[in-house]
Amino acid sequence: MKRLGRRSFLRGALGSTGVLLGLPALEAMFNAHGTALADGQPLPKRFVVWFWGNGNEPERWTPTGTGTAWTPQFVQEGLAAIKSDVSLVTGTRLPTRGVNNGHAEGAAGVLAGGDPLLSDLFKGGQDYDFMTVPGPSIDQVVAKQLGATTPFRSIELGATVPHFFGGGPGRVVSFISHTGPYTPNVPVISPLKLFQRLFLSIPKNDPVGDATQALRGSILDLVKADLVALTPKLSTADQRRLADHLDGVRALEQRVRALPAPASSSCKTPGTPVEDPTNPHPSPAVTAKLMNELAAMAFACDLTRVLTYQFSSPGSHDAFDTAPGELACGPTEEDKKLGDKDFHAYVHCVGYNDTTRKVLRYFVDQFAAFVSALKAVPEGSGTLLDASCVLGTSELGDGRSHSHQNFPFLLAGRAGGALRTGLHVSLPGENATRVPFTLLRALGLPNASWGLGERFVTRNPISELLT
Amino acid sequence: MTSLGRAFTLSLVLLATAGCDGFVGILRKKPEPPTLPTQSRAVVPIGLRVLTVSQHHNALRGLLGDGLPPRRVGEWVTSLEASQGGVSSQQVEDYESATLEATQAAFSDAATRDALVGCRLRGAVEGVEDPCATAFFTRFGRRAWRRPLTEAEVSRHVQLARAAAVATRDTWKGLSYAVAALLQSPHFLYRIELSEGGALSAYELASRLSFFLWNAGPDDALLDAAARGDLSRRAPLRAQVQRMLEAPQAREGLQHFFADVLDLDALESLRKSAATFPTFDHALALSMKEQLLRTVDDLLWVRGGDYRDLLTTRDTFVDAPLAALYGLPDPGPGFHPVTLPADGPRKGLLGFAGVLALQASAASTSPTLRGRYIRTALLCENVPPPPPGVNSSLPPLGAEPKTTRQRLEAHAAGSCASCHQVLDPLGFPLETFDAIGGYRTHEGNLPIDASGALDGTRFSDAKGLADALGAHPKLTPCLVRKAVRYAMGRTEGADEEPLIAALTTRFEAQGNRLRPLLEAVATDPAFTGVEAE
Repeated sequence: MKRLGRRSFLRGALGSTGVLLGLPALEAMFNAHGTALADGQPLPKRFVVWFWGNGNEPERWTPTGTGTAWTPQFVQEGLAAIKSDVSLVTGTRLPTRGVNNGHAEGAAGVLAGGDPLLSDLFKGGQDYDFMTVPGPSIDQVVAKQLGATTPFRSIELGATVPHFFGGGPGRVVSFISHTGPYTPNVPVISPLKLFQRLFLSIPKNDPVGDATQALRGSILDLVKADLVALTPKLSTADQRRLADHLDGVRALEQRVRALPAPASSSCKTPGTPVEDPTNPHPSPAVTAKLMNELAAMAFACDLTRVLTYQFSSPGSHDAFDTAPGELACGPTEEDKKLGDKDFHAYVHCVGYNDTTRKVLRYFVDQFAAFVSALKAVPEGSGTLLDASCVLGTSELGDGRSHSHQNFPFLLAGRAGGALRTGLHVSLPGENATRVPFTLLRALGLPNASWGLGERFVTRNPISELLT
Repeated sequence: MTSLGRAFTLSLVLLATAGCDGFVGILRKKPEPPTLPTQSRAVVPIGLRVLTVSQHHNALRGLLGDGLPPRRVGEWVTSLEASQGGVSSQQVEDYESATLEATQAAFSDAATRDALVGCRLRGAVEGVEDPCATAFFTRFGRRAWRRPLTEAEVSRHVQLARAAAVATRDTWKGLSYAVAALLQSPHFLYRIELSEGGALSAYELASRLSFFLWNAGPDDALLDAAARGDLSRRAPLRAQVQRMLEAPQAREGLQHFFADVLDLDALESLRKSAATFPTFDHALALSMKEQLLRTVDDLLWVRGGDYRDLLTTRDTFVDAPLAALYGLPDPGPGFHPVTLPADGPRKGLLGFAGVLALQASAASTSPTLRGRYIRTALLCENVPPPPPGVNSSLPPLGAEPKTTRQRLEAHAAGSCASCHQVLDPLGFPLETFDAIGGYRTHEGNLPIDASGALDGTRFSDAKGLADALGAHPKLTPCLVRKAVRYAMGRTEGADEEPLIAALTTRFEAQGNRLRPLLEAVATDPAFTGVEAE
């Protein structure tokens, strides 16, 4: 409740007039230095998971030099312009079992801190088709705590169509955000749809709208009552499902009953994204550029404080525009020219070479573009990035062998001053779950540990990264 | 998955030794000669099954009429998914908006709402309190929740209708909001089996039957039968099942069963390389799905044919784009029955573009992926995933051009052999079909070697593979297993092997016809909990 500063102010103002004020400038609520709110409350912290699929090339991932004196590898050169805003943690190892599909194990391990889970109902099913996360993914753990006052508790977006292997219910290799086992949060991959969801569906202050909002709230009250009454009659697994469902209803209710978001002078409704109806899947970079702007405005307008950005999904079989026509594994020159440009298949086919390294570099470039989009929007005396904390990662250390050694981690933003940036921290052989745990600390969350089970659990943040 | 693609599948499923030692050992053995179980079996309640996308759609359409705009929401498509799949906040949002849209559309149309409500409300806003409203929620609620509502449940919705009518100054809007509440409740969105009395309740069984046979909720006749106690007695239960199998919904239900088993919904979001396949588009993918469904419907429902014939039939349906893909004469607008030429390259399920395109990458084929599909989807064998830590890169291309087969064979010659040997030879005969199912004789300039083998049977092309599969002893037991999984919403336990074996014996004895199989599953005590008298 301590973080309600701005919204409490607005609620008071609205309560007295009942109409939307001219947007209260957020800056009016800053302290004299623009580093906190006038009432002494810190700026709201924000958390992002930025994800690309299929890992990296471990031999060429570790920068030379550590601490502040590090030189990026070829694939990391896109970080140059924001080098002081990012940190790299290299050498860690995700402690997977090595018995299931490497994409599934890696995604469950890095995002939810444990081994993938297989429901008893599906014993004997193809494992990665049926596997899910063992618990909520880290973004949802954060959203429960940071997202309670914004219209959207969290936002899930993507730049490419998620990968599906088979017809099973596991979505552990398709999505990066999960409320709980078998309850994935599907990302919005259409910028237009995300725009409509973020900017056109928030409450409008007119009498008819108010009545409608109130009735939607009444319906959700009935739904919640039904969910609560049904729960004790069910098995533990089904109780958990209904708890996740209830959670979803509360998230919607939060929005239905939310007040219009207060806005900083940086908060502007972006222009409506233009989509080409004849080309429902434009290039990932084109989608990402639009998504970056929408995400930055979602933060600037305080519509949400938690975001997952699935640039590509675990095990993605997408094509990327950085190497047109070069990614083909077929027998002839003609195949090479046309190509399906399936990066995943191509890596399995030829491994890493100058062509595939360009794609690895492109992922980091895209990460840098997202971070730069946050940095481009002023907030207080700094930018949106200052109060934010971005975790960039993938599900594999090595895309060829599905190994989880030298796991790739890119961090950006200072989490309101809690996180040191501009560092390369080398932690050979250390438990990779220390990285997400460090971010929970930086966000000021009370979690005493991160990770499920002996192999994964850590209580040990990376002290070099914390101020 | 509807809104998002289940698009790309692996173009190369690369496997190596670790997971595959003893592969043959894990193939399911032919069970002992079965006896039908006669002892009373406790039916395991499944708990919660969330309505699949199509069940939700069918249920809304059934309740609110055909005027419903075709908006499909939800995340879970198959029967197995539905028994574990959760409802995310995005889904809650989608359910809300789709439901409000549908109810407001239904109640703003005078004819539709009069038919729905079935009695005359007084004109005033307070009218929603009168007996007509109570009667409406009692009747409509029973169909929506697939069981009678308690008085308290009815009254809660009447109260909401009244509050909404006052707030919107519109009686019909008031009703529509209360109906929207019914349709966002977990009692609508999930099929709930609590088995509170130690056995499935009559209404729980009614839902089991109707979703299995119709992929939709029970009609009033089935709910009336449940209310009368008919579903707890063998003879009237069988009569209900037979009535349901005669109804038009059962025809749709059978197609949906095959869509579930063959993963055909994935066609709705299939993508291919535009550069390699300029003729491929969303419409063509939908035509591929339609072809498969029509073929299943015609062969297995209309003609009551033998399931094994699906693997070898030349009788199918094409529209103009499919005819072009298959090199057949343009049939004109719409779908038309066609018999594929006997001397052509393709026949049966694995000769149809839908399956071939699904089991391929965006531009290239994958014998491994197609082989895996045959092993898992058609023969119910378990194929382990590629183990981690193995360098799965294929040997370098080198100067000499090679076909996909040659490169895979080089890869599978080493440590990866034990898995690839059971998969790739099933995919090699299908190499004469490209990644959208078009026929080819060459890959680039290199001639295709389409010879292959299935568990000891050798063949030289895709039609030989079709014949070998059609005659494979695991084909029919696998379909029975899939039917049991589809009905129960889970993979089977070891104690269910005798049931599957018994059903298989009966299925085979009855000519591998689907209607008797569905009837046998739907009336089996393991499914119904109702023992012979």
